[in-house]
Amino acid sequence: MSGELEVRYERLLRWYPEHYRRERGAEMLGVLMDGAAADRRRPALRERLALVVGGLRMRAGTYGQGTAWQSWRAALRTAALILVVLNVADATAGLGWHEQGAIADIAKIILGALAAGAILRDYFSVAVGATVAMVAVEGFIVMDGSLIRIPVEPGVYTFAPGLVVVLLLPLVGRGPVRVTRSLNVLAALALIPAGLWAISPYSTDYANAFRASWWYLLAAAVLWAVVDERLALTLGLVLLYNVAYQVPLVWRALSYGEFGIWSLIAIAIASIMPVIGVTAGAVVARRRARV
Amino acid sequence: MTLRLREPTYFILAALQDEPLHGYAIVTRAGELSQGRVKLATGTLYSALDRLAGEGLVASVREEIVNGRARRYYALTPAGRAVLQAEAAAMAAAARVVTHRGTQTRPAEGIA
Repeated sequence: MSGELEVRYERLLRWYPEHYRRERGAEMLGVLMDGAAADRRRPALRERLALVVGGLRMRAGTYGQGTAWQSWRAALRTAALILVVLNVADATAGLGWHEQGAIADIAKIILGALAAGAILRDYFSVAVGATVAMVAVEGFIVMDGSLIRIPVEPGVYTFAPGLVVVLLLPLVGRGPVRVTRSLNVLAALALIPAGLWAISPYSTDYANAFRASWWYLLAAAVLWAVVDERLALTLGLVLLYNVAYQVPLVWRALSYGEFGIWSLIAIAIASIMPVIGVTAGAVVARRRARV
Repeated sequence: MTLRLREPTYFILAALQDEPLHGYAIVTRAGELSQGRVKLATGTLYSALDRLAGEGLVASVREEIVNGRARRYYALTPAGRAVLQAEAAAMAAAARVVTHRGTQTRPAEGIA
């Protein structure tokens, strides 16, 4: 039944891109058939898994990948881009809501667009400059003269620019970052929660869907780390926003003398998702960096 | 070179020490050398070979057609041989930390 087995292996080899199959397909098929027992009709499970994962890695651009730092750089760049886009979307949705006027929101949208364009072109120092200006504009919006005005729900991306600056600094002056199209496409999924939020930020249903969608995305990214760890790293870095969001809450609690166990618990809960994403991505990146 | 090798990669390089081998022969030889611990799936083998070729540690040296299929032979490069020997030396040094202790110190007291 070697003919049947050969057809099945040929089908599995289709997970690899066509150019690779042209180059290596016949050779790999030879090894697969040489290694198969005479009475085998179906591919062995470990052969199947290795072919599927190998093919997906090649399509994702992580096949034969280099150092862990390269994965981190791609994730830092993508996470910064996502946060800038989320912040611009939030500013657009918030036009007319902020009492301090739409001018600051419009300034933020323009600066955000500049930062996003600079990140896409790998001009990281320009992007840092634009996001620092966004932080200054945020300060103008957020400060109401007496105390910090806290956004009503987490997910209002008010404090994102500060985090973007932190993410971009390691990239400044170190040349362009290699990012694959598949990472860009998959990372765009991270905009789903923002879309849900933009539809109706004050609806409980959408708020619940918003939170749940982050968990689904993170779970999918952690599973996808078998193929491409950069997505888990990216989402973990984006979700650091949850921790950044706690900073003004802690500041307020400290100023009222209310900082205590509940503040620490809130920070710990906010850290769960980013820790899962970053840890999963970092472990795989480190492991894959070994030859 | 300061590359650290994973176990399957180590045995792939070790399989190529004596002569160039084709894909299936590498799988078989790596299995023998590792006493059955390393069972390379074909997808894993080619992923490793491509990575090793990218690092300049192995190279394809000749090709022949067997049963109508291309069969490529791979060989260690001088850099590959140096990395393999460095890894073997590092593992031998690590092993000596334990094996020499048994002959140079008195038996441990305590349990049992």
